[in-house]
Amino acid sequence: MKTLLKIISFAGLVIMFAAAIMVFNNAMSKDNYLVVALIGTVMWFATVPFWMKRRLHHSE
Amino acid sequence: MPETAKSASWVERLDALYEYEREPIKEKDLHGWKIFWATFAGEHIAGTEFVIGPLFVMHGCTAVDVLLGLLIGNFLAVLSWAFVCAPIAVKTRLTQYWQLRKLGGPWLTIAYSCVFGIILCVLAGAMVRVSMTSIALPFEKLLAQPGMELGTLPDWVWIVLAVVVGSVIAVLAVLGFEGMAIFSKMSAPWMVTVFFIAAIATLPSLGCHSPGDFWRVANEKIWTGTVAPGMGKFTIWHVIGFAWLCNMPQHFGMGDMTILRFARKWQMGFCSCAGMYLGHYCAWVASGILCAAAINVGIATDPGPIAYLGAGLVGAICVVVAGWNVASPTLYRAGLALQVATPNWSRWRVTLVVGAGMIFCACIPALIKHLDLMVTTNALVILPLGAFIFIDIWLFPKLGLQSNLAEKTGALISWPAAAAWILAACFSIAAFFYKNCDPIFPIFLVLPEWLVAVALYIVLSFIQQKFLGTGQAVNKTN
Repeated sequence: MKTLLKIISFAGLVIMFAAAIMVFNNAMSKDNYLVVALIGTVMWFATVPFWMKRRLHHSE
Repeated sequence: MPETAKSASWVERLDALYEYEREPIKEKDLHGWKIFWATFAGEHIAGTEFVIGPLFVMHGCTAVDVLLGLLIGNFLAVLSWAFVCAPIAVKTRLTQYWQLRKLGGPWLTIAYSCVFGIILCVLAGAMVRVSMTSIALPFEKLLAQPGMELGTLPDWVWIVLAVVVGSVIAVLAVLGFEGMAIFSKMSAPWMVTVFFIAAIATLPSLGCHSPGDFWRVANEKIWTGTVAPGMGKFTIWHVIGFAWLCNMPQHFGMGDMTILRFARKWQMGFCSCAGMYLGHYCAWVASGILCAAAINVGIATDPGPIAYLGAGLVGAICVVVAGWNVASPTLYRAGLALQVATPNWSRWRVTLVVGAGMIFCACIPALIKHLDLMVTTNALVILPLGAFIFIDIWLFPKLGLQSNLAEKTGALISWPAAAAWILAACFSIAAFFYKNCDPIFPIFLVLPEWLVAVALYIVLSFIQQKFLGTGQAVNKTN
């Protein structure tokens, strides 16, 4: 389950990158890129709390 | 309360705040490479990056100045972490606070804590201002004149925003510091991504449609060498100096002893290159590109508008998150540092009072317009103390002088350290006035100040230990 959540998190970041590169190559409109960036952000923040370690350095 | 009892109580209170980190780190608590790569990468991507990248554009840097200058300056910063801070952190396994207390005595740490608390308070105010530039966007859109993208908000609206945003951050710092720190850790990879995608997606608006166009666009549209009104001209030397010194309090100033004391090897100081080249290279270049695009379409070059231009709502959220992620822990640490000077106040009360100072600072727009000067001043104030730690540990034994003398003699303050700190600061102030208060000159004062502080500390310690006999007295006792 954790692996799946990790995949979703990083997939969110990857689609954000892909959309920006497509805008750069004129293969996607800026409006669609903004929507994809928002979706990628939701994918990241909805999944990351379930797998990222919550330890902080000073308490280690 | 009698004066001596009062001073003893201040010292006890300050020591109590740092009590849990008094002992050197034990072997079983040491960490490997992975955590240091992650820590440095996460720590150096924050709200300030949205401000500093544009400053290079406004200061009239050329593409070579920025791309080469940042490469060299950040390399020097990495070397400083690896060869100055990390070896001492690994040797002592103590925080900067306790190491300073050993050599300078408790009164020096009280002075350091107060100065550092004020600096952190101003820095937190700047971060609140960064967040405000994003939160203000909907209001600026509402007040926009026909044909204009954004309107101008009256001053009282900015003050209201500062109070609202600052109050939320102050409350978060009191109630949920741990939660904010964890959120900060979780949002770091996403923030890096937003910086990158915003810059990539903005390049076509500047006429860059393929990687081959980048160099031409970088010179003609981004870092054109044109100085914005009210800003000084930066050369490659300013860029190198700034990239190197902006984290001086952490490396030369020894602030990162707190982190690197957990390192198995001093070589882990090289992990700082993750933060430098992701945050202080890529993110600064990215925000410079966004700034140029904002100038191109005629909107404000504040963090909120430029991030919105590059990544829409996600960019605006990123600025708020980046500002809050820094402001909240910074305010918490400022409260911690200043708690010593507040008689028996609880942590929440100190943090709320410091929060009021932060809100006042956030009302000053010049704070983020001249963030470079603020960062430089911060470095100049803290730097000598780091220099004393370095000299006390590495050079004093070779010179036949006692290290950690204040601890050995039980002195309340080491007068050579206090005098060298004050005189080095006076040297910098005098040099600044000599150059007619040129706001970009202090960048070049950092290294001379370090040398002056070191020279003074050695000479004064020599007088104290060899001529006044304090060190010999300790030898006899031992």
